[in-house]
Amino acid sequence: MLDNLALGFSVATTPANLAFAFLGCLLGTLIGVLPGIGPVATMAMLLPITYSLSPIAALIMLAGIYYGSQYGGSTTAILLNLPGESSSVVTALDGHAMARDGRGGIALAIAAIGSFVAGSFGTLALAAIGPMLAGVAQNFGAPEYFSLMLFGLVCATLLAAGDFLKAIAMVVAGLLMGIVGTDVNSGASRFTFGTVNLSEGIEFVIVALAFFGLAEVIGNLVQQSHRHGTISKVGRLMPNRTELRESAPAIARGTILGSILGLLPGGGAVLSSFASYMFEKRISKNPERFGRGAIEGVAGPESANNAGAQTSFIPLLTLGIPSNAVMALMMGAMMIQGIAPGSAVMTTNSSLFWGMVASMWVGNLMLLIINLPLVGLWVKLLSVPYRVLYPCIVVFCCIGVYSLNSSSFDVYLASALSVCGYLLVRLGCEGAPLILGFILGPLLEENLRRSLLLSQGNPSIFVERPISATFLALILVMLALFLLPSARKQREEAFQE
Amino acid sequence: MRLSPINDVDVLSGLIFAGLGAGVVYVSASYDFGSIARMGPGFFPRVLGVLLTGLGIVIAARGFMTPRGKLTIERLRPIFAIGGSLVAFGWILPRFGFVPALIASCLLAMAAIQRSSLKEMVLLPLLLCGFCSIVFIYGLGLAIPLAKW
Repeated sequence: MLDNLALGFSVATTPANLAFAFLGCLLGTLIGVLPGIGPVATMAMLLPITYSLSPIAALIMLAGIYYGSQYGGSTTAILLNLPGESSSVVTALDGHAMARDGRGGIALAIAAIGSFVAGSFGTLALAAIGPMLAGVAQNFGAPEYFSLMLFGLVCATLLAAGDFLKAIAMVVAGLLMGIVGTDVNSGASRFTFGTVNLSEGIEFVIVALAFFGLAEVIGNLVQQSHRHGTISKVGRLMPNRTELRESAPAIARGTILGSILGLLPGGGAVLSSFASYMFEKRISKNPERFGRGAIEGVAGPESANNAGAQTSFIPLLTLGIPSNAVMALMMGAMMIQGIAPGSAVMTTNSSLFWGMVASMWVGNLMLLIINLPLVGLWVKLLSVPYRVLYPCIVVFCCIGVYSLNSSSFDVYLASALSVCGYLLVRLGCEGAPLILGFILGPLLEENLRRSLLLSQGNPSIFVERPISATFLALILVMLALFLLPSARKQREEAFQE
Repeated sequence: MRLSPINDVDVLSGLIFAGLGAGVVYVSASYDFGSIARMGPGFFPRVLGVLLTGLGIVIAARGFMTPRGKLTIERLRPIFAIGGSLVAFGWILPRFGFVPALIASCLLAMAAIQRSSLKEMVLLPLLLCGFCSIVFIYGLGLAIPLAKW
């Protein structure tokens, strides 16, 4: 593992890759600070730009955007009670309460330290677990992959907030969108309606931008929900000894909880931070302090969301299964670069894998350094009004989509999909399951086809192979756990909190 | 028991999914289904289409029984403005070039809310044109003419 990490650091610390990591972190923080535009939309907007970069530089930058946005989101959550990202919603509860007491600087420092500790641990976990999982996955055949993908999709819909049935329907719609275009096996055109514009299929970037960038802009404008708060004083930055002692165990618990939850399909930063907050509140000796500036309420979730962000890379890099919308985007970026995500990445492309792992740690260090001293600058950015910001987002999306194939059709398609995406959100159907289905659609079909070819049409192959059967059994367990009436009630309560 | 109206969020989304699923089944009926051992191009879409139709019907039925709330959209203007902004960009760009397309889509997007001052409506498109021309055309080398007639 040490050799591998050394290889990784030698890749990650070349001047060019350091620069891309820095750029990614900077952009990510910027995006995280600005409400109304999330990491998925930013990464989608920047995807066309990464075409011209080397694969490792592209992935380093995109990864930097992701964890940079976790840091940035907590800054505004604490100082303004405006969570820039959904993963920092819980940070706002106690973080902003601390800021009102004049302890905003300490909350920021604890959040940054916790994130750094958690990020480092998550990176180590990735380095340790990654090769193990990849080794297991190397024995996977088509039936195993099919069941694994099914398991991933079911978990992702169960663990995500919102209505389960609608989420499943969105997954199915996504799967169908994913197979538009020429079928690789038969050469038949599917759902192209006679136009050549669709013969290559729908571009991933278009779907991501429409559902996460533009639909969100429309949503913000319809609701006119661009509030402005008053910025609290930052105050003293360095926490004293008592504060450190209070937050250290919470950081440790948050890190471990986040690392585990990040591994689950459908998990990642958001789930981790919510779970950690509830956990801290439950084990606290005086839970009534929560919501009034309890330092554990900042330390725990902030560590958890960063750890979760880090470990959610594990299923993608080792099994080729994206666990949430951000990972679907990373997968899209890898496929654009001609890399098939999965266990093969580690063996055929080990410098890429380890370079990315090392760059995550480097990026976390950079974030610690650029965030705390520059807090004032980030806060100033918030004075940019949304009415100036959103036309820029729309224009960047237009250019990004057009530049894919120099095709006006793509831009029209993006327009239609963003309106649909917005309406679906208003109907209670989230975009994340759709995008997971979209990216997994062709893979799911291919593995199903191969499995059935292998078994000469006998579907029992999925239960006869032990690993595949395990995944299918896990699906049933998950369904039973979540859909039984009692569990369902608890889940609803959890999401309400 | 009173049934919920058609614009209930569950009823509406269920009907959309069911309609979409039925459409998929209809279109993919012309693709070769193959057999289970040798899946044709029509296999996967037809199975999913049936599944989507079923899910849609269940969601809609659930909505009819227990209403979830009506779909209300407070303002329609942003939907048309943002949608139109993209369409304008796609239509103008191949005909008149980068700068006109950018200005048109920026102004249309700004029309989504009537809050911008005249100063902003002049300055923002111009600044965006400058910035995007430098970054995308010169920096990243997109082969798009700045303007043409």
